[in-house]
Amino acid sequence: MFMQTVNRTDTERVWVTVTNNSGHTLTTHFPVFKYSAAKNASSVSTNEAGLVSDTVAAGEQPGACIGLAYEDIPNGEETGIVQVYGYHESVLVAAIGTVTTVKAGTGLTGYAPAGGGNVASVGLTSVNLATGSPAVAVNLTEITGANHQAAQGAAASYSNHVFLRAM
Amino acid sequence: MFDFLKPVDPKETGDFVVRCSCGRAMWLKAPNKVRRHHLGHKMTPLEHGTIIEFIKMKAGLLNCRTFSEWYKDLIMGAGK
Repeated sequence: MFMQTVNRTDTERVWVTVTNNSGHTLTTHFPVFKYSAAKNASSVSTNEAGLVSDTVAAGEQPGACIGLAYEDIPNGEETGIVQVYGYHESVLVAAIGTVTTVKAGTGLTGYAPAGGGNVASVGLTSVNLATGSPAVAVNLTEITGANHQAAQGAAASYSNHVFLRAM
Repeated sequence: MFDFLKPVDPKETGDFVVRCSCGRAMWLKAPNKVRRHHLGHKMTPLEHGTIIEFIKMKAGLLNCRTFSEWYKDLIMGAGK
């Protein structure tokens, strides 16, 4: 497909349909992951996905990030769409406490603290780049410490404008 | 009586007509009974639709199952 210049109104975008059996709603702009083997090995060959806190066991690395939920996907064998490529209006920032500013152009990854996924680490951030986690999105506007410190899901915990490259 | 001829434009913000990797044109936010046939398929905004697809879009028929989708539901026992 032809790759256009990144812009907000007429971009190339790609979505996939996933099934949510994770136990929680996949809210719009939340990153969505495949399951790690300890949680659900068969998800690799199916289209099941969930939040990082539901898909990773303690002490393990999370499964691959598929992209960002494009709509609210309720739990319980409901299908929904996840955007995997292209401009996306907002992203949930991982609530991991005091963090320095993430500048525009920096890659964003899922966040998995040493003890495994938890509710506060559901969003994206740049912290795990140093350990070699692949960037699934490019940050287009500055993310501040305030975004990282806000309660997960509060208005202040969302950043603006990312470019997804999870495909 | 002729409600089915009314143009059907995006019902909600962020809805696109997309081309699925299997070739089917559909609304991005299609009903579950359509979408469950396209699990894991990649969808991208529609370019170069056919006249038939345009008519289907305007007549509100894109969100109806195709014959193949309906028949698969029938033989797989997926219900209405």
